[in-house]
Amino acid sequence: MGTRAILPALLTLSGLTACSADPDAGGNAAGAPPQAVNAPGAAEQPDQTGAGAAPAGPPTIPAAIAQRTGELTAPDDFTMLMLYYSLTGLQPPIDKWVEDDMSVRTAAPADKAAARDAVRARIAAGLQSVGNVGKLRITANAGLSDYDPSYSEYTVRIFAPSSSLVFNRAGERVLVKFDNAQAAQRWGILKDEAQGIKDRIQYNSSVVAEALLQITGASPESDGGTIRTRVISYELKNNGSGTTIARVTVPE
Amino acid sequence: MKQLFICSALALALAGCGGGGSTGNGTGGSGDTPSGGASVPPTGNASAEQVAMEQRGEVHCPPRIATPRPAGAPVDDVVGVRPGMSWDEAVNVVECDNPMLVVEENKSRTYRIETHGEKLRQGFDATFAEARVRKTGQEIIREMQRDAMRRANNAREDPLQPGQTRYYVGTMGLPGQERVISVAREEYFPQGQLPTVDSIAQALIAKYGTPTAQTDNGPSRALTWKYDPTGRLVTETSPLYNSCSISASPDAGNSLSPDCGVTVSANIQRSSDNPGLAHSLAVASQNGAAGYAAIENTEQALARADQQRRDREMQQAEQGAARPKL
Repeated sequence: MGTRAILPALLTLSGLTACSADPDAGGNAAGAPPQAVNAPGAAEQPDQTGAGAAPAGPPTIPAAIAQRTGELTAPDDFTMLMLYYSLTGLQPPIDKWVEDDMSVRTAAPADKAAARDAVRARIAAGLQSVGNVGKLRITANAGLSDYDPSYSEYTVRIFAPSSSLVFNRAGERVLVKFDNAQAAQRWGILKDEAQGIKDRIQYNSSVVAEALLQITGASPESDGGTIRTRVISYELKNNGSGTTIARVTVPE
Repeated sequence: MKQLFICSALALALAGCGGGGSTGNGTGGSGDTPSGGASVPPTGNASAEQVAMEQRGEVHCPPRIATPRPAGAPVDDVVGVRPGMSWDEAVNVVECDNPMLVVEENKSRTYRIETHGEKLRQGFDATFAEARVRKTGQEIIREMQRDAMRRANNAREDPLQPGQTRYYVGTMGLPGQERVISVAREEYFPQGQLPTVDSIAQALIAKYGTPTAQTDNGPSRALTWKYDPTGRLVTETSPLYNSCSISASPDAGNSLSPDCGVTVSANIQRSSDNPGLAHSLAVASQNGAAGYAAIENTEQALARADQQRRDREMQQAEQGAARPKL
C-alpha cells in the first residue's frame, strides 16, 4: 500500500519481421483535410494533424545524428546495441562482448585466440556499419484499436506514449521510444470511410505496422539506454495475407 | 516508532513557524527537515485547536497561487489543489481548507526511483489535529491492548470522524522544487447535515463536466472524468476508456501512465441509515502523462548530478589522492 509504482504499459517487440521494400510508402489513406478535434461528438472530421497532441514543433535533432543518412531495416538485438553505442559516443564494452560470444566461450583453448580475433573483427565491422544509420525501419504488431467514432480515429498503440520497442542483449537493454507518440498513434479516418477500412482489416490483433523512424537522439540509462525516434510514416498490413490496409504519414 | 515520527513532524512545524511569513508545515525544501537537536517539540496537554495552531504556524488565506491551470485545460483541482502546483502552494491551499488541518510529509509512500541518495519529498498528508494528552503507563498499555484486539478481530476503524477531512498529496521534483502530481481528499459529512447523494453528483458534474463514466454499486456512487494527454475527454468508444482509472481514496496507490492525461475520480459513500444521503465524499485527481514526465525528469536530473559528482571526485582523485604502496 505504501509503495507507489510507476506502471508504464510496455509493449514489447516480440519479433521483428522483414520489412516492406517500399521506402516511399506515404500518403494518408483517409486523404482528408486536417482538422483538430477537441470535443466528443463534435468531430465530423478526423484529427489527422495531431496538432493538439504534439508539442510545438519537432525536437531538434543533434547535428551529428541529422547528418546520418543510412537506414537500418529489421535490426536485431545486437545491431541495436551497437547502434546505441554509436549514437551516444560511449565506449562499447568490446572485450566483454568478445568474451561473451558463444564461439569464443565454446572454442578449444588452442583456438580461443583465433576465435577472439574473428569475433572482434565481426564486431568492428558491425560498429562501422551502423556508424551512418539515421533511420530505422521496423515491423511490429500495430496494436490497432477499434474505430473510435467520437474522434473519428483508430489508435495505433505500438506508437502510444507508454510504448517502447525493446532490444535485449547480454544484460544490456536498448529501448526505442517515440518523440511524436501522441500524434503517431492517432490514425484519423473519416466516418464515411471507416466502414471501408473495417472491411479491409481481417483481425485488429493481427495488423502489423511497418514504420519508418527518424532517430532523434540517444541517452544512457541504468541498465542500457534509450534511442529516441520520430515516426515519419507507417504502413498497416494484415499480417496473414500481407494486404495493405493503409499508408499513413505522421504530420510534423 | 509512531511517537518518534510525530515528534519529528512537530519539529518540522516549528522550523516552519520560524520562517516568518511562510505557510507553516513543510515549506522551504526537504533540507529543512530537522534531525533533532535545536527544535524542542512542545509538551504537555493541549487541545486539538492548540495543537493545530502550533503546527500550522502562520497561514495566509486565501492562498497565493502562482501556478494557474492552463487555459482550456480540463478542470483538475480538488478544492483548489491541482497537479502542477508547487509544494508550498499545495500546502497553503490545503491549510486554508480547514483551520484544523495540519500537514505532515509522508515519507513512506514513495515511487521506486533511483534518488542517488537525495531526499525528495514525495508527498504529504493533511489530517485533523488531535489533542495532545500526556498518558500514564497504564493508559498507554490499555490503548495498545485495544489496538491489538482491534487488529486481531480485523475490525474496521474509520479514518475520519464526522465533519473531518483529510488529504494525501503526491509530489515529485528535485529537492525544494517538488510539484504536485496527484491529490486525493476525503470528507465525512457532519451528522445531521448529510447532503443528498444526487446533490453531490450534480455539484461534481457542474464543476468537472460530463463524466466519462458513472457507476452505482449500491453502497457508493462513483463518477470518473478521464482525458487523454491532449485534453480530449475519453469517451466510451476510446481505447483509453478502460485505462487511466484511479481510486478516489487518499489511501490508494497511484499508477501513472504517459498515455493518460487528467483523471478525476469521485466516490460518494451512501449513509447506511438512508441511502439517499451521503455519508462521505472522496475525490482524487492526477495527470498521468505530466506526473510520469515529472518522475522521469527528476530521475534524469538526479542521475546527471550524480554523474557530475563522480566525475568531479575522479578528477580530484587524480590530483591529490593517496598512492598505493606496491
